[in-house]
Amino acid sequence: MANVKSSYYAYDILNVAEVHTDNQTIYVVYMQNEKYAKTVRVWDGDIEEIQNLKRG
Amino acid sequence: MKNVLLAFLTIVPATIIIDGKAQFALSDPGHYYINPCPDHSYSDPCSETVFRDQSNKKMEQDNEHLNDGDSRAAKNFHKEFPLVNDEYWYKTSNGYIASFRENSVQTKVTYDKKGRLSHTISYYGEKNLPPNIWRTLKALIMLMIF
Repeated sequence: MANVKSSYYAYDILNVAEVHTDNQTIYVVYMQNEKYAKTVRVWDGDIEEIQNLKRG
Repeated sequence: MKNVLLAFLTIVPATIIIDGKAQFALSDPGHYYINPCPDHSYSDPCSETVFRDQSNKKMEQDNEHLNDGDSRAAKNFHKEFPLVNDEYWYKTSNGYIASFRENSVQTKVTYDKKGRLSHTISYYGEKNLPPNIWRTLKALIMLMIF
């Protein structure tokens, strides 16, 4: 069951943009699985979803 | 009348919250629009190409295209990235962008009009990510999803 759930939710990372500004590093991660394409922002140990698109 | 008042009290705070969130998003340094396609194939933020040269010496000596900001940006760039010599330069309304590729990683370095470093963006594929960053990102993504 865990494997099924894991593969269902597994996201592949497509691209990562690493942004350096004002002594901070921010990561913008583009990823997708079979159903969704997500963009998340990782900053200061926190992760935040920026965009979530359902794939056609 | 009660219904009208209720609707007003619902809509106005909602508008303020949405508007406030938008302002926060704009002022938050973490909110960037990043072109997901770094290979210049579409939506490139660099609309005006001012000089595009693969030789540092030539670019710094080509006074026809350079002003103080240009040369300062170029000097700062070569100080920061001494091993890079095949960068492309673009002029934007806010300053300059130097773009180069190294070990399959595309990097854009932006400078303001006075040639001061503004920020750097590097685009990685999953396989190019340094292992420690890959592990951190994967762990955070798993935490977010579950």
